[in-house]
Order: sequence, then C-alpha cells, then structure tokens
Amino acid sequence: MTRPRGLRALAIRNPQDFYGGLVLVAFAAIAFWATRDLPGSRGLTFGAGTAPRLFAGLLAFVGAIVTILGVVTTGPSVGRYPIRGPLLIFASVLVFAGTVKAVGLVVATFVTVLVASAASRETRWREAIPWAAALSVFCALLFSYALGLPLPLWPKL
Amino acid sequence: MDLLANLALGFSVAVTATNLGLCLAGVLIGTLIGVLPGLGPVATIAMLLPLTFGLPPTGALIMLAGIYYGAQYGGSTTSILVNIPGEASSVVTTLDGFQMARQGRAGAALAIAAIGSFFAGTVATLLVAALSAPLTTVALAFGAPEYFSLMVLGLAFAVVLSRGSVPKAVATVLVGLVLSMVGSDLVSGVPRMGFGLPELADGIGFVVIAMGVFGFAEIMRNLEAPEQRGVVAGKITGLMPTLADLRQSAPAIGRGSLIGAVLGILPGGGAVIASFAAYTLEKRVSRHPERMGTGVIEGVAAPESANNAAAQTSFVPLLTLGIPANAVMALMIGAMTIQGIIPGPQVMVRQPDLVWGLIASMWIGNLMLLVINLPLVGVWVSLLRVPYRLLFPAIIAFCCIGGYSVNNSSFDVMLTGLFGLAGYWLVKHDFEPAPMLLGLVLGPAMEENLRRAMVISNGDPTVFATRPISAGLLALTALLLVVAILPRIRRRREEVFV
Amino acid sequence: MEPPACRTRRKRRPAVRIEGMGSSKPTRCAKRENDMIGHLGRWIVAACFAVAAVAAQAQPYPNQSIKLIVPYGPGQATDVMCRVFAEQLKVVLKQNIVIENRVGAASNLGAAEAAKAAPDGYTLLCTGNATHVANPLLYSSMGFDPDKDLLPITAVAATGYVMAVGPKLKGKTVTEVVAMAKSASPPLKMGLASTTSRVLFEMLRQAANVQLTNVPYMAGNRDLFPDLMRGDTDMVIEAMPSAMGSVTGGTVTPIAVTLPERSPLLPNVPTFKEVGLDVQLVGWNAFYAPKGTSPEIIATLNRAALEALRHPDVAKRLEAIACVPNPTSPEQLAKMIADDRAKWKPIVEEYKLRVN
Repeated sequence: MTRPRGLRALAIRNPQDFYGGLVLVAFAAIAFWATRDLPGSRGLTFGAGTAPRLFAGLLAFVGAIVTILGVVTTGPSVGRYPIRGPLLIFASVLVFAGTVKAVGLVVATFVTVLVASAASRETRWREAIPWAAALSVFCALLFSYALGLPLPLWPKL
Repeated sequence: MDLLANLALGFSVAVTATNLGLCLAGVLIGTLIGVLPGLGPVATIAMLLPLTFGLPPTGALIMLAGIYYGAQYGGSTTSILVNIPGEASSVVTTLDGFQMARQGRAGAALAIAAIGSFFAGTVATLLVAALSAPLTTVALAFGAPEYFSLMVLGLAFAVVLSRGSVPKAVATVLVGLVLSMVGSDLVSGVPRMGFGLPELADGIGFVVIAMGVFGFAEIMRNLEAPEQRGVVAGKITGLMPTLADLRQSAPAIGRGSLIGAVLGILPGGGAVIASFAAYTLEKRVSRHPERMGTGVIEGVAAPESANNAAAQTSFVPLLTLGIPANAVMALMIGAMTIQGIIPGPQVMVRQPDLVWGLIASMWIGNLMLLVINLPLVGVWVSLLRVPYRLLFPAIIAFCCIGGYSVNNSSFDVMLTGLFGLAGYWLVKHDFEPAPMLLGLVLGPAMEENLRRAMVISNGDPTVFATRPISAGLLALTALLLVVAILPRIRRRREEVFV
Repeated sequence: MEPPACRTRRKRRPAVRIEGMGSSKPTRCAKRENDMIGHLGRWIVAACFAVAAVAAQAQPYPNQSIKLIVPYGPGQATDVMCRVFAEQLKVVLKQNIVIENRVGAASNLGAAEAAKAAPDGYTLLCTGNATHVANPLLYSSMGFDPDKDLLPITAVAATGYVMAVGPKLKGKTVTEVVAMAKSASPPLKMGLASTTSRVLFEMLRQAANVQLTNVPYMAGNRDLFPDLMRGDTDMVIEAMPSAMGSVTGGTVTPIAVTLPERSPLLPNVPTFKEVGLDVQLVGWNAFYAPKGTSPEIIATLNRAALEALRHPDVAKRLEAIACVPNPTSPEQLAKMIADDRAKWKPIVEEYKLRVN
C-alpha cells in the first residue's frame, strides 16, 4: 500500500498519525453504533450505554486530534505493508482455531506450525517438517499429560 | 515483641516438611504456568482447588499462594523473552525487558527480575507481618470515588510512560477502555457491544488481547525485518547482571518495592497500577528519561519489584478483612470456605497459626523462587539461541494452545489472531499497546466505581473533589500530566515549525 | 503410553480426577511428607487405573463414576454446598462422583449441558435456585427449559439472607431503620450484590412502604462490606454464606434474616416475620437429572441423596458455611420451584429486571 507521491503526500506530512487517527475515529464510530440499543442515563443514574458511549465519544475526539496533528506535523511514513508474513501468521492461528476441536491437538499443532513456518522466507522445509512433528508431540505431552488441560488429542473417529 | 513472636509461630508452621513440600510444589507449578502463555494463576488455582480438599487448611493455602506468586515470577519470563505479558502486571516489563533481550541481555533482565522480586517479596512480607492492622485502614479508606480517582491516575501513568506523542497514548488508553466495555452491563446484565455473539457475552479476555497485540504482532513485525531482530546467538552477553547493573537497579528495586507494597493493599487493580506507577517514577527520576524503553535495566527492576511486592501485600485485605483483592484472592476465599474457615476479621485471632504460617511461607516461597529462577536464567536464555525461523512457529503453537485453554474456546484463538493483526497495525502507526492493555484491565472497574460513586453521592459529581483522598489523587494526576506533557508539547511545537 | 482409561476420559480435567482420589484418601495425603510433584503424578496414574477398573465392571446402576456438573466456580458457596453433599453421596452410592465446575451465563451454561446429557444417570446437576427460579424470569432464552429438560431429585441445602446495617446508621433494629427510612432525605442506601438481593430489596420496600436507594455491586463484590463499614451505604442484604465473616466481626450489625425461623448461627437476630414484615426467602440448591432418566434411577438417587443429607457430618460441614441440609422428595422440590417463582414474578415484572 504505497501512498501516491505528489500533492496529497505533501499535504499529509505525518501519514502515520493521520491515517492512524482516522482509523481510530472509525473504530469509535463503530463502537458508538454498537451501543445504539443500550439504555442511556436517566438523570444522574448511569445506564448500560452511558460508559461505552462516553469512552467511544472521547476516543473519537482524541482520534480527531491525532488526525489533525497528522496534517500539521511532520513524521515518518507508514512504511511498507508486507502482506505475506502477517497474513500467514494470522492464517496459522485460524487453522488452529478451526481444526483443534475436530482433529485434536496433535494434528492441529502440526499444521499450525507448518503454516506459520511458511510466513518466514528463512524457513527450510527439511527442518520445519520434523520440527513441527516434534513440537506437536511436545505440546501434547506438556499440555495434555503434564498439565492435564482438557484438550482433544486425536481426531474424532 | 509481638511481631517476633508471631513470625516465630509462622515459621514453626511453615517449616514443617509437609508445608515446605507444598510451598515448593506451589511455586514450581506457578513458575511453569506463568511461563506458558495463556495459562494463568486464576485458571490453575481454580483447577487445583478441589485437590486442596484433602490437604490441611494451612498447607492448602500455602500451596495456592505459592502458585500465585510463582506465576508472577514466571510471567515476567515470557515478557522479557518473547514480549508476551502473562499478566496485566507484567505488561510494563515488556517495554525494557524485551528490548534488553533483543540486545542479547536477556540473562541480566531475567536475573534482575528475580532478584528484584525477591527483595520486594521480603520487604512486602515484613510489611504484611508488621503492619497488617494499620495497612487494613488504608484499604478501608478507599471507597468508590477513591478507586475511580486512583484508576484515573493509573491511566495517567500509562500515558506518561509511553514514548511517543501524548494524544496517541491517550487514544490507545481509550481504545482499551472501549474494548473493555464489550461484555455484559454490570448492573442490568444486558449484553453490550457484543454484536450478538454469545462468545463475547463475558467480554474479551486479557490473555486474548495481550497475546495478540504483543506476541503475534511482534512476530509479524520481526518477519518483515529479519536484520532488526537482534536476538542472535553470538550477541548474547553474560547471563548475570554486572556490578554496574546491580548498582543501577538497586534504587529502582527499593522504590518499586515500596510502591508495590502500598498499592497492592488496595483491592482491585492495585498490583497492575503499581507496576505502571513504578515505571513512571523511574522515568521521572531518571537522568536519561529518553532511554527508558530502549532496554535499560531499571525499566525491568522497578515494575518487577512492584508487582511482586503487590502480590504479597494483596493478602492483607484477605487475611484481615476476608476481602479478596483480585480473582486469585477470591479463589483463596473459596479454598478457605471449602476448609470450613469463614474468612473475616476473626481469622487472625482464631487461627493465628494459619495466618502467620501463610505469611512466613511467602518469604520461604520467594527464597525458593530465587534459588529456582537464577539457574533457570541460563535455560531460558539458551532458548533464544534457537534460530528464529524455528522459534516463532513454536511461540505461535504455544500461544494458540494456551489461548484455547483459557475457556476451551476456538473463538478466543481466532480473536487472538485478529488482535495480532490489529497490534501489527498499531506498531506500524507507532501506537504503543501497553496503555491500551491498562485501559482494558481497568475499564470495567472504572465504570463500576464511577457509577457507584454517583449513587453514593446522590448524583453529586463533586464527590470526587470533596473526598480528600480522591481529590489528592486527581490533583496528582493533573500534576503528573502537566509535568510530563509540557516538555513534549514544546518539542512538538519545534517539530511543527521546523 | 497413555492408559486406555485416560484416553476415553481425556476431556475431563485431571485436577478433578485427582480430587476423586485425593478426597477419598484425605489422611494419606495429609500425612504425605515428601515431594508433592511425584505424589501428584502417582495420583493421576492411580486415578486413571481406578477409573479403568470401575468402567470394566457391569453391575446395576450406578456401576461407573458419576459426573456431577456444578455451574459455579470452585469455592463459591453453592459449589461448596454441592461438594459437601457429593462427598457423602459418594459414600452412600459406593461410586465415585466427579464434580465438573462449568461456569458461565449466570449458571445457564452448565445447567444446559446437564440438560442435554445422556439420561443414563451418569451426568447429573447440582445447582443453586437461580437456574430454576430467577433465570426463567430474567432470561428470554437459557439454552434449555428448566421445567421440562431437567427432572428434580431433591433439594440439597438451604441458606438465608441477612440484612445488616453499618456503624454510622443510628437505627439498630428493623423497626428503627424503617422509621428512619420513612423520613430520610435523600433516601437511605442499600448495597446489593446479586439479583436475589435486588428482589429482597423490592420485597422490603413494598412490605415496609419505604423509599430506599439501591447501590449495585457486581456479584460477590469485595466492596460491599467495606462500603458499609465506611458508611458509604447504610445497609446491605446479602446471602449468609458470604456475609457471615463480616456480620460477626462487630463493625456491622445483622438486624434480620429472611428465613422462616431464626438461624442457629445468628440466634439473636430476628426474622423479618418476627418484626412484622413479609420478607421471606430461602436460598437453596438442588439435585437434578436430565429429562428421560428412568424413574428407577431417580428413585435410587433420591433415596441415596436423602440418606447422605441426613448424615450428621453433612449438617456439621454445611453449618460452617451457614447452610442447613434440605432433603425433599422430587415433588416437594418441584413445588418449591413453583412457589418461589410465583413470589419473584411480580417483582421481576414490575421492575423490569430482565436480562435479555
């Protein structure tokens, strides 16, 4: 996601803060929207929605300040947004979440470690595959046997 | 002297073979679960509580207490090694601790954390033994308005200790507060901001967010810039702190211990605020405040001493009033109830052997932890010699399993992943996650105390200014913010007008 | 490798598994003087083999260990009530009972799990009255129907609620406090830490015809009694198991209990009935089986439970947490549920105490 250089880039001299602030304002707006059904305060008695709206409102305000500061100050650029690493890490976590109940700890850990390994360019597969196997055995021993966490170990048949 | 007689009674109880064994078992279990991301003392004690059914009451409490402060030691290990705070009170430790690890000084950081914790534990145990009764009045002096003001002060600490711009730090605190509102309304029980998801009915757990924005985000960042990783085998220098390190940390340990011991007495958030306060104080007294956060040893020594001291003194309201300072203490009350002991002011009179035995065992436990942890430093540091391409998938696997085990919930694991992406975004935009976690932890209690303060004062908001302790805390907040912000605003203006 | 019994039972938390062994041999582990870790490990292994041995038998019910779901955290008053009962029931049934604490959604989660379990008598429920009295009125959906999906076996233990006043309030009897409340402006404040307390608060307001301000605390809140001691609130109504430590400490004064008769633990404290107010409520917990469980099993369990509850040790241990044994027939339990719900209903509806 490279920002266009030119007039716009000149105007926003601190893109980190500018876009950061904008996202916070958007986040506050979503939070505010999520409280729409909650009762507010009656007189001086707080309702369920009072505190969330208060915090979201303050966040929108401070987010706006950050955004404005992003326009009037100079700061570093956001930098590159490499997609591969973060997304594969995220994917590996999703894989674990999605599979652990069905296939059990051992298989889920194995697959998760492999997907995560794919996130790094330094990964050597000849090393990563046995490592994944070792880790899944180790995790099963540690979490399931030694600590006794109630995790399914093997696929459900 | 009463104190000596009481301590003698305590040690005579704590030094029996059974109780020593239980204490050792407790601190070992505590260290282990503290080191493993996701597993915390609350879940572990809840799991082990039924086991204590068959133990004598004193032994049961000694073991559970050992798990609690053992986990405090273990929790700092992950903060330093992999940037994942196991507990809210070790969030601050990541700031300098992980930087030290990146510079190859993980050994010094871990050792100073253990030494500081031991010293703090000793100071706090003595305080508990000598001053339990007067300390209790401190806890009783804090009502809803005072707690609210204390939490405002705590959030101010979080803003002040951040390195970047003040509005951005305030914004991250607010993000934490907004996230903390997800769950159920504490008065009416209405689900709120949960987008209709039943998984969100109990709110977003600390572990989920801490693992995501600290642990996963750090990995994502490391992958993009391998050369900045720094944790390279060749660079690891000395396992133990140097004499200069010790000299530098000694005052920080002293200050941290005191802050922690005092704030730990306050039920609700005391220990967390203590670690933030201790770090902020170091930043204020430091001759080079700009270096805080780049891997200076005081930045580890102070909060680690504070959180361990607080862990010890949080037993004061439990022992003297039967009031739990935090979730772990609430489970301890459960343990006492199961044993047929009704916690309350009478426990100290009716069962002095239990109370003093527990207090004495805390010091013994801290000594055991020091002895266990110093040799372990070498083991932990050698983990960092594992090439990063192998280390990071292992961290992810551990976090996934740990995160899943908190509630046996795949949803939590998924959420952790999402917070990983969010944390990566925060780093990219130079937002610091530590203030956000404090907002997250303090949010619900802040709301509850604010609401209750308004009811108690019959809707009069001046209650925060008319109650002296509350007014003092708010004045301190204002002072702190002004002192901290003015120089930065001046700097900012220079930036604007270059 | 893993013993087969462990694998079939792998979903269960071993900490609880340990409990099964540990509590059956309390003297042994109390005397044990060396390494705890090795001891723990031996327990786990022993427990696995015990479970395996038991599962191998085939005899009339109960011929294997029973899972008892308790939808409260370990150590909470209701959990302790259930544990004391289960301990003795284990002896009567000559069968291991494994307690599983399933917390969440105001006890609805654990109760729903029990309601959906196989009706073979090996998954049972021990829970407080919330799931059957309050929650059906408060929640539009609980994940199960407490009247249809669970069969009552017996009530287990009962406890009362106690009203206490702080040191700053002049009135030290219900009559004095009511008189003060009638003229107080702003109204006197009462701290409440649970929905049951809230219902009692409304009952008291109606019975005494006074205005009071309610100060809500999160359930089990630590600040309830400190606030009372400091005088931020004037009074509280709280369940006896969690109030006993504070009300016998001297700083706060218990002035009335909601039981039909005086509690042996607070013999000098009158009931509300004695002072002429209709504020009566008993907190109880009870024992249930999933829908479809055979009448024979229900009868066996009722008989065994009643025998367990009449054991003197049970009464003694319950008394320590301000409870009394409360053995009933399944029909009596069903009537208790209906009666209490009728008592709650108008209050919940009038004050819109609805959760979702």
